[in-house]
Amino acid sequence: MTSSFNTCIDQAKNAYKSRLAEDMRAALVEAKDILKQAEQDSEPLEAKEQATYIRLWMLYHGRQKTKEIYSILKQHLTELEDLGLATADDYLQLTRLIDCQPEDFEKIIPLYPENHRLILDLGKYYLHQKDFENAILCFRQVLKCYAGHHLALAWLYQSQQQWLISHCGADLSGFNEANPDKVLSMVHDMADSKLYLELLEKYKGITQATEPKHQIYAATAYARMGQWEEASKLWNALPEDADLPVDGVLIRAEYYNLSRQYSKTITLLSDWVERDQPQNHKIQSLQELLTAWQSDTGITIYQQLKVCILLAKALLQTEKQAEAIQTLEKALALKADDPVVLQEAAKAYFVTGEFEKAIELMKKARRNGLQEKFFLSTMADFYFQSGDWQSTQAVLEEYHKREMPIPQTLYHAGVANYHLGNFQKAYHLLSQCILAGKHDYRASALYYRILLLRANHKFNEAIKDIMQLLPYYSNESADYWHIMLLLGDMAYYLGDYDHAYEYLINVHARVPLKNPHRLYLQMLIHQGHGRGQEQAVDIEKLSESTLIEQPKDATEFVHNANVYQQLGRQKEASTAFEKAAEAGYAPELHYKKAFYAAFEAEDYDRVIRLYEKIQTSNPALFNQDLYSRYAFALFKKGDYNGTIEAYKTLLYTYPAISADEGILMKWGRVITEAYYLAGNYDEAVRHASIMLSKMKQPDEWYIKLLKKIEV
Amino acid sequence: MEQEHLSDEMYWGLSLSALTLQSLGNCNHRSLFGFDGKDENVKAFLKSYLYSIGIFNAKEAKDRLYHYRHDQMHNRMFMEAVHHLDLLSEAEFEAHLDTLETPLEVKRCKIAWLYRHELKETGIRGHEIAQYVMLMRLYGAYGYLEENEIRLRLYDIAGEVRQKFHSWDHYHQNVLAGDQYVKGYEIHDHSSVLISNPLIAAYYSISNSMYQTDSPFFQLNWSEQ
Repeated sequence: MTSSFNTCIDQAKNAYKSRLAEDMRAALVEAKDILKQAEQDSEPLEAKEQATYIRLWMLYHGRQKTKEIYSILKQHLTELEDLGLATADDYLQLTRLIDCQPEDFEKIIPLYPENHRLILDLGKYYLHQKDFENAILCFRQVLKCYAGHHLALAWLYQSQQQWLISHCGADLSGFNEANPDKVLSMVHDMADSKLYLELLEKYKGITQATEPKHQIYAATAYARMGQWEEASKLWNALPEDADLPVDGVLIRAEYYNLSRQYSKTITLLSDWVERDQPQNHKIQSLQELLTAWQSDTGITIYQQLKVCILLAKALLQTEKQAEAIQTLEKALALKADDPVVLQEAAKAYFVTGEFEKAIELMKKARRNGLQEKFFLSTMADFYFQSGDWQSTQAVLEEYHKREMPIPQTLYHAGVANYHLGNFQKAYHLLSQCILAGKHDYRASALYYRILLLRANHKFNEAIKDIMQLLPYYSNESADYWHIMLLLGDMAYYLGDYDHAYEYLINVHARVPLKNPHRLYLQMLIHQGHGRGQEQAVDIEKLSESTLIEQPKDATEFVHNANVYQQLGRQKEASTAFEKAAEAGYAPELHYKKAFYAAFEAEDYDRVIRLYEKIQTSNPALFNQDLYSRYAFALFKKGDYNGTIEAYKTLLYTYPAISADEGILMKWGRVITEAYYLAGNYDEAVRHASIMLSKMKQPDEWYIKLLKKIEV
Repeated sequence: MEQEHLSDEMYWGLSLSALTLQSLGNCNHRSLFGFDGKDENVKAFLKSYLYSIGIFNAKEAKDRLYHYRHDQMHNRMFMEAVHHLDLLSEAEFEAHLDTLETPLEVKRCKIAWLYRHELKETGIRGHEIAQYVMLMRLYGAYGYLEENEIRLRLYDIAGEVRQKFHSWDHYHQNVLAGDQYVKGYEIHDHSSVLISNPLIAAYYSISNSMYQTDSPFFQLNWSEQ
């Protein structure tokens, strides 16, 4: 019998889960018959099983909206009480009904004075009855234990608003009770700062607006609106012994932290960390409970947590990391699953270098209700500060899929992509960050966009950005001179050597330059820039001693190559450039530089070899200038057939050459000679004839060649 | 943006998105689309917002409306969770949390547990309808939807809303709870809520403005005229 009863119960549960009311009813009716039969057989089912059955009926009826629901549920509750198994959850089925009676609350609430769900229902009852003061008490009580109950918050606001309207009229202009103090306190509690200040102005003369209480509230209102200066003025005007309420203390500490007056935060809050929670004494009746709530003005657990968070922030900023962590651990002992405390603790552990612990706490915070956007942005911040660009980028990509980007995420993602070499993406993100208006990340975003543009040789755009960035720095700051250095660097790359010299010499006068910029300046001076002017800076001249004796890496090879070039030692310059390229530093560029230097040094073996390397590093590259020099090197090395082939390739790839008489004349002679020296006299004659036909006056060289061939 | 002439019923329907629209930024409650799609900056913002919720083209835009209209978004998930959780004891609920795979599932489950009595009848349908109406307006501004279609869709949804909710407060509170469930978060510091949570700030502001003569919501009755 028990098993068939349990089957019915399971069927009823499944039907309830699937929201199939009729199936549920059918299963319960069947269970009812079994129960009856069991009683008749004097084999009653266990009380626990009967209670489950009754609860299912309550859930079934709870879905209906008939007038009889109240009495049906009450009947079921009596049955449960008779079984001795009625719980708070069972009473909730009744208290949530709009028809629930005051005597029900009188009976139930003192049984479970800390059950927030029951208190919430009581608040809703009072709100419905337009007893706003009691409704406010109830919702406040719920929020003291469950601050994350947004519905309770909304009902609290609704009750407060209705209370205000009932006292002052819809436009808040009336004074039915002529009790503006109470009205102002209510508006302060509602955290509606704008309205508070408006009313304070309106009630001037009626209330003692200069009283410390109103001054504290007004300061809090200004602070909540972000008008910290106004708030600060009022706070400073307060008497020394003014007793601040908890919310006033918290917001004042917040102000101290924002204005970096950390020692004041520490002084203000250190007494508040250890405040004891009010002890609940035995409550006999609902009225007694309401009176207790009314007089309870102590610190709530959430306020205590905020004290710890603000204090820990101040301690961290004053390098008292161990104390900060200790404070946050105290907060976690109060409420181990609070997501905001967990997040702050993670940040503190991160600062002390305990990365693993920080990540673990962040994951716990996420699991306990931390908003996804805060989780992702904090994790990205951790990775960003650790220089883990790959993870920063991955986390923020996730963030941007779910949330609207904010300046911080755009900046972090932009910089991460810059370091990862995703320049286009980085440019897009940094530009979005810059366009997002005034914020803390704008200057840094501009700086990185400048680096990005510079790396892509878009110097003009970079200079425009520099002009936007300069106002952020004072003329004497290190950042300002760093920007000047960038300007010098870009002018050098652009070949605007006069400006480059000006920028670099000025920067060097304040911040001694390091290589490669030091070398650029030395080279510019070597080339004659600033000659005739009084040398305002102390910098050695370019000489043998400028060379790095044993270059360690590619940049040092480039350094030496540049010095060799300036000293006219092209062959050594070419070797140094080649080594830089071999080390993987912009191989295409440095092989090219080595190639040109070798050509200058007339080392044609090297020219041929380097050309092949350039081709290997970028097979798609075909550069007319490089190729013609390569062909000339082949000619010089006596590879005439190779020269002829190269010439044909050149003509095939650049057909415009045959139309450009200047180039044709220059190359015509080399090719004709190559044919001649290769022994292909017919082609030599043909080329010589073509060349001669294009000349107004025949060139002696061709005439002599033709005569030689004839002989 | 200029004030547009909208019929009472149309204005009532559009106001279903008042909270969500205001939480996005400076909108015009009295206009059909709420935002001026002709302004390039606004258009860029709308594009960015729609991308952030996974809408990249007109087809996806229409699909999303279909899902909201036919209760195929989060409300269904919420209702299933609530009916399941009703049958669990506190200890069974804690054990159930451990079986969930992602942090978001855990957060949503905790919120469903918290609101299972209050929202058993309505679910978070109010939130979904607010999203539905807001998307229509944004689509209109962005060029995905015509005015006439918005009108037809508003008239179509109005009955369901009036049947489920009995006042603007009732409806708006559902929007708040739904947002909390979908995103899985809790606000603990109420003193800074007006800054930290634009949706709750919008609730406070709109709820206040319903009593002010110069407000667009003054005397906007819930029940049919």
